[in-house]
Amino acid sequence: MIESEVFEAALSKAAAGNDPALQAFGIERLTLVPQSVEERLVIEGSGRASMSTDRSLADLGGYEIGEFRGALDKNAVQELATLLLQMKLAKLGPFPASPGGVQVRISAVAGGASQQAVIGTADPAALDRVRPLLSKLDAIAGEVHKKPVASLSLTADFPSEGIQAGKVSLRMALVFRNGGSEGIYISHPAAASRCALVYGFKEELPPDVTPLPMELHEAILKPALRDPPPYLYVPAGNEAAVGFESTLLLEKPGKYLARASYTDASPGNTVAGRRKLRGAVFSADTAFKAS
Amino acid sequence: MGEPIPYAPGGVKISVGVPAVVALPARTYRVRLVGLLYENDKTFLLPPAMHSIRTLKRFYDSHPGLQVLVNGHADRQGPADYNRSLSEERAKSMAAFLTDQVDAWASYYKPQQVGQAWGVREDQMMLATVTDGSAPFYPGAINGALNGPTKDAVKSFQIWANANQGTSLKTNGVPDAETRKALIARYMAQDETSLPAGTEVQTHGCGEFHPDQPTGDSVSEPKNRRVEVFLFEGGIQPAPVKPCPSPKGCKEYAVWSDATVESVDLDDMPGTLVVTASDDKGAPVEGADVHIAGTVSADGKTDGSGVAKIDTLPHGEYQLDVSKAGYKAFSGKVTVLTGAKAVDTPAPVTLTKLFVNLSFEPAKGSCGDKLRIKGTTDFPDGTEFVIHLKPRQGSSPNLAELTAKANGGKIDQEMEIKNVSFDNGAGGFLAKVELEATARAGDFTSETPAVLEVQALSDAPAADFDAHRTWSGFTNHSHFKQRIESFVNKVDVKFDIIKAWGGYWVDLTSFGVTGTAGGCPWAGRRWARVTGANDMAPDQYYDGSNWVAMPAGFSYTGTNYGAIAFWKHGTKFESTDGSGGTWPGAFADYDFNSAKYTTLRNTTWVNVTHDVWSRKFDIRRKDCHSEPKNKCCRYPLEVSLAFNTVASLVAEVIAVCPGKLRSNAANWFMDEPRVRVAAHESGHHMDNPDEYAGGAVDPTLNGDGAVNGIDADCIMGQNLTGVKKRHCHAFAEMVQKLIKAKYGRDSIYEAVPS
Repeated sequence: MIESEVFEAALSKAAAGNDPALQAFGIERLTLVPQSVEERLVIEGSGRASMSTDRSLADLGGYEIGEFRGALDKNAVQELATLLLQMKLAKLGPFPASPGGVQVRISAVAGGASQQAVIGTADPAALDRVRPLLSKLDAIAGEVHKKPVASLSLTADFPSEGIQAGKVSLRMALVFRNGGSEGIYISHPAAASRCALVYGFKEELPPDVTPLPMELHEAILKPALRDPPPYLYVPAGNEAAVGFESTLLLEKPGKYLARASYTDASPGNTVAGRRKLRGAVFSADTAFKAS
Repeated sequence: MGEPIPYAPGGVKISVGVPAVVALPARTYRVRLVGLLYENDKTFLLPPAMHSIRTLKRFYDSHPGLQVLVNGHADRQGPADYNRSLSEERAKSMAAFLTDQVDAWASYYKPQQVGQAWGVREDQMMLATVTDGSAPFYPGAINGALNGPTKDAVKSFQIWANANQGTSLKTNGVPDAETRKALIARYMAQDETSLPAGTEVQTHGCGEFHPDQPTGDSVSEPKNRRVEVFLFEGGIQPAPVKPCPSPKGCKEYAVWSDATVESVDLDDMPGTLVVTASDDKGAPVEGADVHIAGTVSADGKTDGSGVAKIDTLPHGEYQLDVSKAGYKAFSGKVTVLTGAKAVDTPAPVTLTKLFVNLSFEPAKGSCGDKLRIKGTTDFPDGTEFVIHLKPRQGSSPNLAELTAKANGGKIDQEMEIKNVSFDNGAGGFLAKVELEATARAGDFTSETPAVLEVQALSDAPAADFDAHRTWSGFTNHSHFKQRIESFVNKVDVKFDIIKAWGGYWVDLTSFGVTGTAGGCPWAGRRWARVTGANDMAPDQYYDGSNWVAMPAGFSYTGTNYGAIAFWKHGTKFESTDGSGGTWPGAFADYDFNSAKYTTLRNTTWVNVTHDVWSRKFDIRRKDCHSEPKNKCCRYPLEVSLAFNTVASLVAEVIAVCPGKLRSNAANWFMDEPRVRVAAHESGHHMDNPDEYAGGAVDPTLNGDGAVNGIDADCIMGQNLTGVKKRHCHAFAEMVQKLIKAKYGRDSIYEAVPS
């Protein structure tokens, strides 16, 4: 038998609930943006599901990065196997992609044979062919993402009222939260300019008028802590706050939006054997008024 | 073959058809020194004997390795026994002089059994001969008197010897023993009067028993007061027997004389051969090698006047050879004359100059051409010439020489035109460079150079590259202009762009959304937009009636949302992707030609595209081996990107939008940090497919880093990095086309690293 026949035969058994076939089954969704995002979702035939990500694909505010783990019941795994069987992964035609854009690689193994497909996202219509599988994987990813083992998210805490237009100095706290069950180290946010704040004036437009992208300005975040240690420990299920001061130039009164970011691209996933998270997290938009 | 047969005068007998070896007897030579060698009853070798001594020395040098026997003779004045002893002493004196035995000569200052002891007279003769470098120490009369002038001369010598010969002589003008030894050493050190160190010299005295001119007893005969020097091959045979028995003399002498194959009489002043070499036009030939072989052998070299003088030559016929590279060698006979006084023997020699006539076939070409350099010559076969190339215009410092050999009177050598520099020294380029080729062999240089005209293929007017491709089902219109300007490949890529706006589509099927609504053409999907500070995450979608917040729990994955561009068509905003989508409501307007966006497009994108594509590769004529620093057949690349703003969307127009949404082939976002997208898309115009999965891939592309059309690490790949050689194939095709159109020369070109 050729490899595709081995794959489909084993997948058929897994879809039918054959335990040995399910045990040998696995599927991975790897989402890549060159030099930016690497998100990996792995589902094993046993139902074990794990996910790791170092940055939100959309730089979403409040998004947790890190490691996540969940479990699927047997029916859900059989359903995945069935969808894969219907998709005929290896025979799918090309999916238009953009250079340097998002690329989704789906690979599966069954009965010792494997198949892979690279799914470009440039043409929404082309995705219809694999939408059932993608929607299923999206749903699984969403569920697994709710169960962090070790995670990092960011919120920004600074006053939203009583701010005068013009050049203003604001004190704020960036709060790093670990929603997981294991403590983490991160490269210290107060060191090496890892944190930034962008802000911009929010135009008020009629609802049917789509605004232009906000014109954002970047403000330097000056850490309150001098000579910070190289790492910051964020306990499991807990948070750590780091103080900063920043000067903003608010040209006119009105509504402003701001968001903070923390980026660490330094190498290494451990410190003395302890888990260290790296990547990029963003705070949700924080609105404030300048009078 | 049997034992060697000894040679015998008159011939030896051998059998026809049987190989035989005839052993020649060892040869013996004789040099006879006759004339004023010694004073009466003295053993001191007189200064006038020196020219004969030098000639003897030259003869020995011409026959190295011979055994030397100095044989003294006397005339019949005085008792026979006395004459025998005197002749022996004179032989010893000469042997000591030839071998620089200072102590032996110093002993002659003591009382002698035969002959008179040496004294002030000998001192005066030596001081009158040797010099302090400019003049003899003693210019006075030879009278044997230790007078004032003689003492002064002795003192001068003592001072000079201490300063120049390392002696510690008393500087008192007294010719003591040490002074005399130093003086003898200086006398013996006269140029060309000593045999090579280690030469063994035996002596023998024949007395009056073997006269050259038979006379009666007591007759004074100068020709009988002589010294004969026998030179033996393979040892002195027979050995001399002492004393020479009287009155019949020694029988060995007769054997030596009979065995002599050549006898040289040095009774005259030696001659000087004056060779004057001139060419066939009468011009002197400097540096010609002169060699004579005869009684003696000697070498010389002609000076700037074409003259070489070889002196101290015995009379006789000599073989004369004169040669110089680039001239036919002269070979002939010359008889050297001698006499009582010094005699010059003129030997005018004409050296005919050899010739090499070179030519190029063809005589016109351009860099990378292979042509032949041909020639005729009368140099002998195998003569290797260096063909030297020299530009008549410009400098071309990297031109290399080549070599060619004469064969049958001809030269025929392939040559590639390379490393010609057309730089005119003023920032421009020459239209052509003429190369002069000359052939060199040693000091010879051919007279009339061959000339090759090398044309500069430096400029060609612009032409279009236009091709429609289909890669992985995607069509691509490759189109650019290319020209050659001052050896630079100038590539112009132009994009038609249209002012546009960016929106999103989101897939909400997981949230129960079905069908189409609000102008979004895809079922289950809706338009979405950003109202917050994060350009990357739409926070509202259009439900068909209103803009509402994204459903809680929507996760932004790689496949459930994406960017899309819209252009304003009349009063509507239509999607630019051809799907027929329309945007609900309106986009806020913006100044497409603001300074910020104009700078972004016309500076940032243009410069990045230029930097990614330019000066990484040259287009070079295939098999042209010019060095990179020479333009010659290499054309560096310069890629220029330009934009043309259009008002209506048609095929191949790129939608350019504000914001930093992720760009793709058709939609470019001006706040996107990935500014290399423009360089990538320019690559498509320059006839290159995508090299990432999901792109317009040519799966037949392999090698140079690509596997089945995929290479992440390049400008056409996923990582948007650098240019590879394969990306320049269209430029190479165009150079071939441009050169052919302008110059009519059809050559293959290829991309090579700059």
